[in-house]
Amino acid sequence: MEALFREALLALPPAPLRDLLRAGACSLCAMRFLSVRGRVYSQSVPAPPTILAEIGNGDGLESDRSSASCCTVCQGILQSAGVGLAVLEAIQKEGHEFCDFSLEVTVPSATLVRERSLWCYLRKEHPEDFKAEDPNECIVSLKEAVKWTFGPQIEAALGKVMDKNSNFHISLVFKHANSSSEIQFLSDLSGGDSKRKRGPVEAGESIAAVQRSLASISSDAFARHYPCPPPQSDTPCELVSSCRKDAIFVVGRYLKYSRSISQSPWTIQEDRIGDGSVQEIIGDVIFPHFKADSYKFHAAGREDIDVRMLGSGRPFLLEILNARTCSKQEELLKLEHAINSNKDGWVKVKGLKEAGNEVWTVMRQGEADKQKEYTAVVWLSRPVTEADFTTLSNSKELEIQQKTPVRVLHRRSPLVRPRIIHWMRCEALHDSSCYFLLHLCTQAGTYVKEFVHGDLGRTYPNVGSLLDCDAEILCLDVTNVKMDFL
Amino acid sequence: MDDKEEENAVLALYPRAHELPPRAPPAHETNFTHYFALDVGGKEFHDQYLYRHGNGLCVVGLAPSHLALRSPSKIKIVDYDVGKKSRADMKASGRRKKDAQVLEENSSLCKVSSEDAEFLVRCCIRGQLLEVNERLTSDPSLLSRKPASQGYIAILMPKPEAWKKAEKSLLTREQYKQQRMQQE
Repeated sequence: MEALFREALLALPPAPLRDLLRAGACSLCAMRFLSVRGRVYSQSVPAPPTILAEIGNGDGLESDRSSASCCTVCQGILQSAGVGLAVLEAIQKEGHEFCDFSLEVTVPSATLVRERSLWCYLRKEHPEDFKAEDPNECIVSLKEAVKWTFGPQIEAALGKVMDKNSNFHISLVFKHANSSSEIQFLSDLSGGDSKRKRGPVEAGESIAAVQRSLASISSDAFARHYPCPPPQSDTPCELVSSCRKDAIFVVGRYLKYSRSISQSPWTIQEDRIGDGSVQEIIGDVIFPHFKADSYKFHAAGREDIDVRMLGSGRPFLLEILNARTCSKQEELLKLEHAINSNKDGWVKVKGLKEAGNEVWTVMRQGEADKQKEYTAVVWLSRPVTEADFTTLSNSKELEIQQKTPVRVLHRRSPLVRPRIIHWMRCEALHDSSCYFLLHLCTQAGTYVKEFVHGDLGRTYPNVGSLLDCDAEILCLDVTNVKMDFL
Repeated sequence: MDDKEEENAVLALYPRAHELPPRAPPAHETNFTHYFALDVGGKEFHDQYLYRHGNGLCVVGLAPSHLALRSPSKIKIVDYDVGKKSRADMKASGRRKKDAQVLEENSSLCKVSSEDAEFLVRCCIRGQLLEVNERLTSDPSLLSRKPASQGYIAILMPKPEAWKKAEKSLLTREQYKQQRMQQE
């Protein structure tokens, strides 16, 4: 018998230990019930008959289940063989690269019932030592015990360290065929659990639901409906192991030089609109590199298909789900170069790098406060004058009222939204009497095109009303999206 | 950005001369397809336009050949109160346009009164009424000055089936020009 175990064994109260083992608990479950924690679980622990031989079998050999093959509480979970190997196989099948891992454990709901049952029995036999109604307050949870028992084994098989903060999750799901029928009596008992939502009986099977039911039943009521100690189990649990990586984020800023590229793929009744999308141009280069399941494209705002995105670019993030490979910064630089070398040159990216979950806060931060700068080519129904330039540049913090533009009125609420044009600056265009360049800075959410042409007068004031003529917008560019981003 | 990039970025903003058409087409021509209805309600020269946006919304107004715009007497009043209720009282709220009233093809939208005549403007298509042009109530001259743009009468949201039906009896701009402009 190993030294660590012997030490732990000697510290345990012999009478409860004896009762637990004879009731059919395996050695590890007995240790759980007696609040033993730590490294001893991963050691080779002797079977109940051996321990009983050490501490003395006691009298009354009638109901001695200590030689049973399967623990009546964990139903073989803590005796599972080849866990490390099973995990290794699951990971190799997916081909994951990872630096460390965390363990997620799922056990059958019936385990909670069996634990409660054994606990009731223990309380009855030793009322002085085990007072609490709810075993969860005192015993070591099975999930924790699984991690202690198999953690080192898995670490050895994978050659990596177990760390609860890891972004790579290994899931151990233990199933037992009889679990649902064993817990059936609970739903009958609590009869119309108020928390139960619409749906099949499966809803009552979740660990949480079973926990709630057990919490509301007194020990006496429980003992009337379920045998204490728990009955023998003939079949052990089965293990299914799987793994997944947390989403990783590739962030940067994009520039769009084309007037026929939408931000994300746009289809109207099976016809594709435009020559492509920013999402695909960037995603098609970056996504294959990570050997992942899928990706999602998120950007800080968007521009119309016919509007270019210039200046320092628009922040975006590519959320990559369940990537198999880890990336390094040099590789990302190569990908950035690959995107920027595209012969079409419609989209370029800057500052490509990997980031963690904090990106969401940065993206959402002050979205409503952000100011945007634009440059528009404006046409007037009469020749442009210096006075026009002065009128517009003298306008600071101009408040306009925008009715929902007709072009989006089919999918947005009909409202009047006040917006601010912070400043405007004009530039003459050579050889053109009716056109000029309008630079402006507006509040986030301003429809700039409508501010120029007036949208049938539904945006007011507008450039035409300010200059007392008709104004039209020929084209628009976004020149700055101000954001502290990476 | 390095200097060369910066210089290129600034230059990119300037359009080339050949990219500037002498007259920039108005937004209500570029973004909408124009249709016309002649002799609405059986009244001669009660001609209306119906601008259809790519998203299906329709803007309704008086066509250039409408009697109210051709006669010398000025437009005095535009009244959205057409009997049982005023069209101006309509309230469509939310993205799904809850409570927007559904009007029929020949439902009246408003009464336009000049010094010596009255004209009834009708929908020309079945659909939900999203908006009336309240500016016409306070400034009826807008209708004579800018009937094609800021003097629009109302905005309707028809269902696809309603559009298919109405389209059959509407004229395209070419057809309209042929029928009406010939009389110039």
